[in-house]
Amino acid sequence: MKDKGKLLILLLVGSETFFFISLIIAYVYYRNFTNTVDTVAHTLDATRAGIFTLFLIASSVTLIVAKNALKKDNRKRFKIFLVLTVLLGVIFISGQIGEYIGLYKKQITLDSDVFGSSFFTLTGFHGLHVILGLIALTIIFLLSIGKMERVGVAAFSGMDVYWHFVDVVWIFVFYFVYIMPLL
Amino acid sequence: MYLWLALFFFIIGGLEAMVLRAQLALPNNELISPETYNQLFTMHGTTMIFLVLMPALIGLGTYLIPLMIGANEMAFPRLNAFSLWMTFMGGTLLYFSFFAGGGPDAGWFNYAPLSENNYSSSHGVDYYLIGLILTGIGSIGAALNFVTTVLTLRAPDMKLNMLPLFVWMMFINGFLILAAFPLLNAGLFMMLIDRQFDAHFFIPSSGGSAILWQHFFWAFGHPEVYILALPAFGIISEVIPVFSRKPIFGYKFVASSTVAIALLAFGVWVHHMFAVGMSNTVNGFFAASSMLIGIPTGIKVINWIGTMYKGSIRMTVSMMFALAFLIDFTIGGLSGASFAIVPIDWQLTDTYYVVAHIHYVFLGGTAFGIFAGIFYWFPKITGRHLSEKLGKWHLWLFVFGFNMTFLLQHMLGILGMPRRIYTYPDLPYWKILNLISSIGAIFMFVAIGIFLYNIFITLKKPRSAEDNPWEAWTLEWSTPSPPNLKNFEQLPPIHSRRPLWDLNNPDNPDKRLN
Amino acid sequence: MQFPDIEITERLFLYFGIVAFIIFVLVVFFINRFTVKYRDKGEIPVQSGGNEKFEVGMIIIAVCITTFFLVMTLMGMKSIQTIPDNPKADLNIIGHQWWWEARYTESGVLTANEIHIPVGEKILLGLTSADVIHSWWIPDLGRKLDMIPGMKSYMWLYSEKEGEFLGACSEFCGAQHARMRIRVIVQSREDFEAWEQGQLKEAKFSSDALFNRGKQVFEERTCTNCHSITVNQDSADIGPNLTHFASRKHFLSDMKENNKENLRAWLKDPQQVKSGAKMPNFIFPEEELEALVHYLSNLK
Repeated sequence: MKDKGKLLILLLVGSETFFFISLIIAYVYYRNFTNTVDTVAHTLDATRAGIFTLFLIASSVTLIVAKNALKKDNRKRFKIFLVLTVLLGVIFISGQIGEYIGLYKKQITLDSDVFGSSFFTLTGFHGLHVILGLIALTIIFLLSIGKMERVGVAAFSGMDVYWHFVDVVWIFVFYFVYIMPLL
Repeated sequence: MYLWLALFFFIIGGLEAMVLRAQLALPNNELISPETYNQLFTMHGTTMIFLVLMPALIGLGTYLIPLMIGANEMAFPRLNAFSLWMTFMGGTLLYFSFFAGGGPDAGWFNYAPLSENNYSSSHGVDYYLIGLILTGIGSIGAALNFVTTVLTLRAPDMKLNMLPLFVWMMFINGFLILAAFPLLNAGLFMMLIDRQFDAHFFIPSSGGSAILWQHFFWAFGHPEVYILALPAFGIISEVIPVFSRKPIFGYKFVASSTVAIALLAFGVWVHHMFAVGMSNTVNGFFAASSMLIGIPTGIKVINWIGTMYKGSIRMTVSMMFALAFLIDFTIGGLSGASFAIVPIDWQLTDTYYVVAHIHYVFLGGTAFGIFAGIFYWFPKITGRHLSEKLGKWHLWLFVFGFNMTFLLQHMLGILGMPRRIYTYPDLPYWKILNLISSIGAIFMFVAIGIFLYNIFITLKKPRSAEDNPWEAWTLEWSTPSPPNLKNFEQLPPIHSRRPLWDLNNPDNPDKRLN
Repeated sequence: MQFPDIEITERLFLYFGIVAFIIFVLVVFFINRFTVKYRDKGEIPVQSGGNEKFEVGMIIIAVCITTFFLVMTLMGMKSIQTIPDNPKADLNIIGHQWWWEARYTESGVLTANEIHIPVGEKILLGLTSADVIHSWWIPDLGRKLDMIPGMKSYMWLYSEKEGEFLGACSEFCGAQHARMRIRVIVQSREDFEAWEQGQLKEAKFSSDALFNRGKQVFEERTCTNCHSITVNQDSADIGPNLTHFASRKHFLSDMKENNKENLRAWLKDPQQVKSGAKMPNFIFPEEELEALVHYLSNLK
C-alpha cells in the first residue's frame, strides 16, 4: 500500500463506522424497548427524507464522475462535477435543517423524550460529518481553481472515500430511522 | 513526551492511591469525607488507565515502532503531535474539574444514572466526559498512525511475518483501539448530551436505559483491558528472548494468539455485567467466550516460559521485571478466569477480589511490562544505562509491596468487602487485612521514589551506552544510542526476524523468510 | 432444589481454586527451575524456535479444562437462577440512596433495612431501585443481583440456618455507598409470623404526654412528607417507613445501633452522622428533639 493518506482515511472511516453503529444501536434499542417511540416515529416524513436521500446518493455519483475526470486529466469536467457534488450536499443539509425546524415546531426536541434524544443525536452527528465533508470539498475546489491546483488534486485522494462513507452511513440511518417504523 | 506525561500523571495517580489506602487502613476511619473519597477513587482509576498506561504504551510505540521496522519516522508526525496534545488537554481538563466545583465522583466506569445531573450535580462528570472524549480522539489518532506506519513504512525487505513481536502487538492493538474507542466516544457523547441538553439516553425515569450505558462502556472497556495488556505482552516478548539468548518459543503461536485475543476481546464484555440480571442464555454465551479468551493468553505464558528453556539467562532488572510480570500476571489471569464461572462472579463481582484482580492485571501485568521495557530501552532512548543496583531495590520493594497490598485483597473480597467503599465496619479480619494492604502501599511508594531518583541521576550522567548493550537482534539496536534525528543512514540486510543476529553470526543465520 | 445456591458456588470455587493453584505452582516452578538451571554461562545456546506439537497439545489440554468449567458453570447457573415465567415476588426490595425498602407481597408488611425471612423456605425476591443502581448481596445467602431503576430482577433467597446475616450494597451508588449495609434475620416460621403480625398493627397510641408531643412534632415538622407511620402500600416512601421503627435493632442501614443516644445525634444533625444523607437538618429545639426521640423510640 503506497498511498498512506488514503490508508489513513480508510482506517479512520473504519473507526467511524463503529461510532455510527453505536448511535444506530441506541436508536434501535429505544425503538424496541419503548412504546412511545413508535408513535412518534410515524410523524417523520419518509417520502420527503427519501427525496433528500436521493440528492445525497446523487452527490456520490457526481463525485465518482469527478474522480474519473481527474484520472483522464479533464480538469474542467472535474471542477464542474465537484461543484455539483457540493451543491447536492448543500441541498441535503438544507433539507435536514428544514426537517429539524418542522419537528421543533411539533414540540419534538432533543430533550422531549428518548426518541428526540436518539433521533437528533444520530442524524445530527451524521449532518456534522456531511458539513465537514462539504467544507473539505469546498476547500479542494477553491484550491483547484486557484494557483494551488496541484495541492488540491493531492488532497482529493482519500476525500472520495470519506464522502462515500458519509453517504453509505446515511442509507443505513435512513433505513433504520425512516423505513423501519413503517414496516 | 508521552512518557513524561505518563510519569507525571503516574505520580499524581499514585498519590491519590496513597490517600485512599490511608483512609482504608482502619475501620470507620474519617480521614477524608466520603465525597472526597469518591472523587479520588474515580480520578485514580481514570488517571491510571487513560493518562498513565495508555500514554506510556503509546509513547513506547511511537518511539520504537519506526526504529524497529527500519523507518525514519512515523507516517504522520503532525498527527502524532496532535494525538499527544489531545491527550494532554484531556488530562488537564479532567484535573481542572477540581478547581471548578469538584472532580467526577461516579467512578471511572461512570454508571448511569448516578452520573446524570440528578445524582451528580457538580460539573465533575462533565469534565470527565469531555476529558475522555479528547484523550479518546488522541488514542484513535495514535492508532491510525501505528497501523499506517507499519503498513507503509517498513524496511523494503521486512515482510509482515517478520515484524518484531512488540511491533506486531502494537499493530494489532491499533485495530483494537480503532474499533473500541468509538464505542466509548459514542456513549460519552450521549451522556454529555444528556447532561448538557437534557436528553434522556440513560435516565430511566424518563424512558432511557441505565443498562445501555453499561453495554457501551464495557463493549469498549473490555477491549481496553487488552489494549493495555497487548503492548506489555509485546515488551515481554522482546525482553525474555534477548535475555535468554534464544529466539521466542513459537513466534507463530504468540503472534496468532494476539489476533485471537483481539477478535475475542469484542465478545466478552457482558462478563462485567453478569450481576445485572440478564438471562442465563446471554450470560452463558459470554461465559463461554470469556473462558475461551483465557486460552490464547495462557498459550502466551507457556511460550514465554518455553523461551527460557535451555536458554542462557541473564538476570538484568529488565529480565527480572519480565519474570515478575509472568508470575503476577498469571495470578491476575487466573483470578480473571474465575469471573467467567458465572456463579463465582455472582458472589465476587464488585468486591475487593475484583480490585485485587485488576491490579494484578494492570500493575502486576501492564506496569511491570512497562518497567521491563523502560529498563530495556532506556539506554537506546537516552544513551545512558539506568542503575541496575537502584533498579533492583526498586524491583524488590515494588514486587514485595505490590503483593502485600493486593494478594490479601482477594481474601477481603471473599470475606464480603464490596469495592468503592470509603469505610467499613470492624468485622472479623477486615481490620488487619486492610492494614497490611495499606502498609504494602508504602513499600510501593518508596520503590517509585527510588525509580524517580534512578531516572534523575542517570540523566545527569554523561552518555556512555553502546549501540547494542544487550546483544539484542532487532533493528533499533543497529542505530547509535540515542539514535540520530534521521534514524537510519543505512539499514542492515533483513532476511529473518533477527537481522542483527544474522549480521553477527553469519555462520549460523536464522532461516530466511524472504 | 438439591443444593442451596451457596454450596454450588463454593464447590465451583473449590474446583477452580485447585486447578488455578496447580497452574500457578507449575508456572512458578518452571520459572524458578529455568532461571537457576539455565543461568548465563557465557555460551550461546541452541537457537531453537519452538515446538508445534507441544503447543497444540497445550491448547488441547486448555480446551478440555475450559469445557469442563463451562459445563459446570452452565449447570450451576441453571440451578441457581431458574425463575418461573410471569414471576410474582414474595418480597420486593427497593433500593434507595442509601437504604433498603422492603415490601412483603402476601402480608403487606412494610419495613426497611432489617429484613426478616422464615428459615428453610425459598423466597422469590423482586429487586428494583428508586434512584440509581444498587446491588443486593448477602455473601452467606447466595448470589448478588443488581437493582436497576425501571427494571425488575428476580432471584431466590434461601437459608437453612437461623441467624442474622450481614450484606451490603455492591454497586457504587454515591456518597454513602459504604454505609448502605443490610441485615437479614432468618427466623423460624412461628417467630417470623409473630413478627409479621407485630408489623401489621397500626402505629401505637399512648396517653403519655411526651409521646403525643413527639407525634405532634413529627406531623408539624413535615416528617410525614417522606416517612410514613402507617402500614399502607401507597404511603410515602422517600424515607424508611417508621411505623415500627423501634422494633428494629439498627438504623441508618445498619450503621448505628438503634438507641436514644444515637437517634438524638442523628436528628440533631444528620450530616454530621452520615454526610450526604438525604435527611435535611431541621434544627429542632431541644424540647422538640426530646419529644421526637421519645416518640420514635416507642414506636414498637
